[in-house]
Amino acid sequence: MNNRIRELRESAGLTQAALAELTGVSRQAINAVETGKYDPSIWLAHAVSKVFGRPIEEIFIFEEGEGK
Amino acid sequence: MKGKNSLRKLYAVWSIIISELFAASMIICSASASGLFWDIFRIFGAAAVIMIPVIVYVFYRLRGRDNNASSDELEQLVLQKSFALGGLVSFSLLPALMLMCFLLPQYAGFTAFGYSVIAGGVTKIAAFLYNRKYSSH
Repeated sequence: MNNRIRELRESAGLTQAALAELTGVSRQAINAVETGKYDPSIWLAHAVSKVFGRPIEEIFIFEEGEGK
Repeated sequence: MKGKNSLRKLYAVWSIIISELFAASMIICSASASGLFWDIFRIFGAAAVIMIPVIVYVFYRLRGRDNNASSDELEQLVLQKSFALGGLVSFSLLPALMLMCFLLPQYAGFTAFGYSVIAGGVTKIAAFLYNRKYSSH
C-alpha cells in the first residue's frame, strides 16, 4: 500500500521520531510504513490521520485488489 | 500502536512446550540407565515435567501486564512471524526427536539438546532477520 506519510510529515516539519512519539509507535515502525515494507493497523492509520488532520484515504492510497 | 497483545501468553506457552519436551526426552533417554544417580535424575525429571507449567505460569502472572505497552505493532509482527517459523520447525522435527529418543536412547540427551538448539535458534535467527527486514532504513 502506498502512502503520503513522508510528504505530509516533511511538510509538517516532523521527524520520524517525532511522528512516532505522537502516534505511540517506534521510529522503526514509522519508517517501515513510510517505505511500504509494512501496512499499518487501522489503529495506527487512525492515529496518523489524527496527527495530520486528514482522512485516512487521503494519506493511504488503497488500490483495488490489494490486501484481499 | 502500543496496546494489549498476546505475545507474553504465546511466549509462556512456547516455553512450556519446549521445556516439557526437553524434560520428557531426558526421562525417556535415562530409562535404560540404572543406579541411584539415574533414579534421582528420573525423579527430578518427573518433578520438572509437573513443575515447569506451574513455574512458567507463576512468572507469567508475576510479570503482570507491564509489557502490554512495551512493544509496538511492528515488534509484535516480527515476533509473531518468528514464533510461527520456530513453531513450524519445532513441530516438524518433533517426530524425529521422539523417534531418535526411542531408537537411540543412549544419545537421547544429545538429540534433545540438539532439538532445543535448533528450535530456539531458528526462532532467534528468524527474529533477527525479520527485525533487519522491517527495521532497516
